[in-house]
Amino acid sequence: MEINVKTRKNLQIRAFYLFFIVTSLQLGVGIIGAPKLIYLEALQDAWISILIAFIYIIVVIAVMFIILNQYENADIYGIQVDIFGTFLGKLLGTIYILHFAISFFSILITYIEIIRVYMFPAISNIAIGFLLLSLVVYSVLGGFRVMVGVCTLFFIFSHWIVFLLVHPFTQMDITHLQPMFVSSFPELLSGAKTTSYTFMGFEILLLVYPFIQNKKKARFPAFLAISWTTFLVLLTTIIVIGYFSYQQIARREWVLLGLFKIQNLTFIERFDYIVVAQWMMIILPNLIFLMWGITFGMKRMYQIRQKTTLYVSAVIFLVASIFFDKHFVIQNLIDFSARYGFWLVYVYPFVLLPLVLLKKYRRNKKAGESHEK
Amino acid sequence: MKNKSLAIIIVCILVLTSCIPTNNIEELAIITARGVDRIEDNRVETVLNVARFDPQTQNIFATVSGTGNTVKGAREDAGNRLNYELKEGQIDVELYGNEAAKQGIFPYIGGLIRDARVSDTMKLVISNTTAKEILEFELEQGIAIGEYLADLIEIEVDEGALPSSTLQDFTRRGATIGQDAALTLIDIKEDKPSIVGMAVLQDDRYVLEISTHEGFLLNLFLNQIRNTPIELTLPLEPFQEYIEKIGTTERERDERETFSIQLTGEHGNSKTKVKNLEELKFQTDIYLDLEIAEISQPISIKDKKASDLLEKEMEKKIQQQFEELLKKTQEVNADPFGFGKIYRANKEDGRITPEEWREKYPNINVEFNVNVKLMHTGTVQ
Repeated sequence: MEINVKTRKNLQIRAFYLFFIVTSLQLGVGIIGAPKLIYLEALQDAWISILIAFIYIIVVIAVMFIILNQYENADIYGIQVDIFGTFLGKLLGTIYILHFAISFFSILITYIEIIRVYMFPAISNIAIGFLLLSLVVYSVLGGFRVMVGVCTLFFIFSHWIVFLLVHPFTQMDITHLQPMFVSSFPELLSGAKTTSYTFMGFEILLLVYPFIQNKKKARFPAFLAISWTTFLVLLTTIIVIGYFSYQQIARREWVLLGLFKIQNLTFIERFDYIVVAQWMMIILPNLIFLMWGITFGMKRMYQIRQKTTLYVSAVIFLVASIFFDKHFVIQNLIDFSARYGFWLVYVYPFVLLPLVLLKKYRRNKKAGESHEK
Repeated sequence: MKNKSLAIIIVCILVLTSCIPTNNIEELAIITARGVDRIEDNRVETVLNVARFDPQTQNIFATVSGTGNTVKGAREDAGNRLNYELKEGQIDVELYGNEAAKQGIFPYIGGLIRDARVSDTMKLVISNTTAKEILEFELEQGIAIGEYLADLIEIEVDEGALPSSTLQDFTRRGATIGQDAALTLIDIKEDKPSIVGMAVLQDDRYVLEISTHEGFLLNLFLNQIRNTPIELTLPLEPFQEYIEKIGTTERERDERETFSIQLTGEHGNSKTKVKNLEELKFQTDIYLDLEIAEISQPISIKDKKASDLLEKEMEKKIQQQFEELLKKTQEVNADPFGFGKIYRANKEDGRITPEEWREKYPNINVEFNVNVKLMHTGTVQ
């Protein structure tokens, strides 16, 4: 297979759209539960954990850029085949596809569960699943630029939710955040590790990089995107800790949604309904890009038409969603996704980097030698 | 091709509506207020005040009650007596009878938090009698009792006269280590349900009744106030020289030793810090900007001296009231002020168990410094 991706000019995007792609993929269902998980590990110093995670992610992204820049126009599927050979490279690529599939599925069923708990307890998974998947299929069929457009628009349309946090922010109890700096370093680190599921999504960079027109300018939007998501996670975590008491955070499932239960206007009494419905705009870009990652990977490695993969996997997801309707089953899937996703997204690039550099060094040497001859 | 996809969309829209269970408004009874009473054998009786939109009935509000082992169970029982489907999304007020509140209200609240469809802004209220008595009270003009109670509390809370007592506030304060919640207390007074004060809780048990004025002090401690009416009773003695004669007739000298003064609190806030952690010493500074609305005696605040004197007397009075309130809460060992949480925040490791604080709270020492500023005296001096 080709190591480099040949992208047509009309499919390429400008580098700044990377900001919308990465933030859209990072913000998803993770952030709803993340404040609680971080708080349980690092207590009131949860914000330090988030900052530690932020610094770590910056390093990971820098490493990703170094890897990608060693090639002319390659994505992770191509790079792995180049480094490890056809068989191992394709195997690793398949693991990536599986990673996207499991992330996709965990987001889908978590959102379905939230809808069932908050709004329609009796609705069947298949009904919401069908609605969401038809939107996903429709967008992916539209092509890469349509997907980027969806990300951009939904980013703008959904961020007004942040303003709803003003009310709980004013009612924060600052003593909940005091005294500072009491958690030990291992606690802070394990707090940082729990953010891995929430912050996951920037690995899409390894896939969309070939589609960027002006690659030299790609770093800035990527780092900006990470900063923005970190800011949002930091903000929500601090508000959650300040607003709720310890026991409440420990016992509540989707602690962020609890913050939207107190706002009240004369014509809308329950904002949590609106926020839960609005959350679809936040998860849809996730689903779209993960689905695209699956289809694109199958096309790259196994030469299967994207449409075929798209329809087949949509049906598989739809059918599978019927069987995942119990809370703890869903939680287990998320835990599983977070656990091995951690290794794939946060650790693997550091393994790949020396190999890529070594390969390049050898190739250059060879080229130099042949030149000498 | 275009027609085909259009047809698919239309079919989808038509078919998908059936995915969600339908709720016809004529078949629903929306619970606006719910009362919980404890009856014999550890059973629960709930009284529901419901609104239903049936064109055939005159009054849209009705009250039903049922018994059961849990609140939801009792609700089902009540539902059996009503030919409508009960919906809980719009409860404005949840009322606990005296007995139920004294035994603890967490068991009833658990269900409210667990159910995501229940509103978190509902008000939790404790009744000095049974909840049933209040909810079955017939108001004139056919106003719903639930809405009536909710409005009653809402006005007081908006004014800053009482701390708010929603489900959120209760769960937040009650579950914070080193703080207890206080809920609005309602009783039938002069043949009408009215607010009689606040109920201070220890964990989830109702242990102390405080007056509305003490409720105001608590609110001043916990929140900021703005444009709040305050009434104070001060001794008359220091103001002898400022009492004005009206007209030429010498009035009969008032034998009373005190006078009342009605004020508007323009601004008010408080700051609490730990003075000495080991000795459990706290210091609370309270700032109040006041405006005189009415004085029961014709006292003239004609110069700065008079105004200073009045300020000093008011400071003394409020300080004394705060000290009394603190003592009362210490006697029942419930900490609605949240000194425990301030203590915890200033402790080095930031850890304290609720039990530890219960041991310490009766021994804490708080220095209340009240700073009153008399801003205006209205249009007369």
